[in-house]
Amino acid sequence: MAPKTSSAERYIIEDPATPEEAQRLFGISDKRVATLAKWADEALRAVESSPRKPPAKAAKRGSKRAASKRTAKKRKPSAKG
Amino acid sequence: MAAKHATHVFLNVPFDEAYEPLYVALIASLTAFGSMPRTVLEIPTQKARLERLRALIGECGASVHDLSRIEPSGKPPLPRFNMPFELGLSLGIHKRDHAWFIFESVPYRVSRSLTDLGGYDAAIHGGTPEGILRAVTNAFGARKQRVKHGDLVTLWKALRDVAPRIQKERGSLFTPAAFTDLVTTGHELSRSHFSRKRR
Repeated sequence: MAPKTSSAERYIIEDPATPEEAQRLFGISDKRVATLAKWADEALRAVESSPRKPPAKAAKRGSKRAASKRTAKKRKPSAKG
Repeated sequence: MAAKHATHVFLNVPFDEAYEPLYVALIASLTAFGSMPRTVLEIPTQKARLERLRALIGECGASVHDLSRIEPSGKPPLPRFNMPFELGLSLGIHKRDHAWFIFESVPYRVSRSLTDLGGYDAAIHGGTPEGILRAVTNAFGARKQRVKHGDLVTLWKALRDVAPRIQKERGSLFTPAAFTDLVTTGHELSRSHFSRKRR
C-alpha cells in the first residue's frame, strides 16, 4: 500500500515539541541549553527590533514609462473638439 | 522497532557547504511548526549504521527528502545515492501513516531524475532559504499555534544569526553536536517568539 503522497496534503503537528524534549532526546547538558537559550534570546531581540524593509513590489510598481501612461489615461479629454 | 513520534521529522538532505543556508532555514521553519527534526548525523559512523538508520526513520512520523543535488560532486566527481536511497528506505519502512515530502530546486526535474515518483509533486524551493520557508509552509501545519510567514522569517533570521556561533564552536554545521544545537536553538527561538506574541 502506498504511503501518503508527497505534497498532496499538509502534515499537521498536533502537540509541538519543546526545547526540553530536544534536550532529553539529544542528551544536551543544562549548561549548553542555557548558552543556546541566551544566544537565541539575543538573536531574536536583534531581529525583532530591526526595521523591516518594505515589500519590493510596493517600492516600485512598473517603469516610469508605464506610470506615465497610466497618468495619461486618467487625464480628462481636452475641451477642444 | 522503537515507538514512532508524530512530531519527529526525518531530514534527508545534502550535507554540503552550499546547502548550509537552506539547512538552517529548514530547521528554523520545522521547529517553528513544532516538529522535531532528526537526521542521519545523529548516528555514529560505526558498524550497524544501516540498522540504526532504519530505526531512526522508523521513529519519525514524517520525512523531508531534498533531491536537488543530482549533479556529480567531489573528487573524483560522483553522484550521491544517499538521498534517493533514504527516500526508498523511508517508503519501504513506513507502509502507511507516514507523510513524506520531496523537495527540489528545479521544477519538473524530479519527474525525469526519478521516474518512479511519477504522479507525486515535489515542493520547489528554488535553492533559496525563502523557498525552503514556503515549501515547509505548504507541507506542514501546526494545530496549536498559527505560524504566519512573518513568524517564519523572524525565526529563520534569528537562527541564521546564531548559526555562525554554533559553527565556530563545533567546526561545522554538519556535525551531530551542531545539529542538536541548531534544533534546540530553533525550539528556544520558537518558544520565545510565540510567547512574546501571545502577551
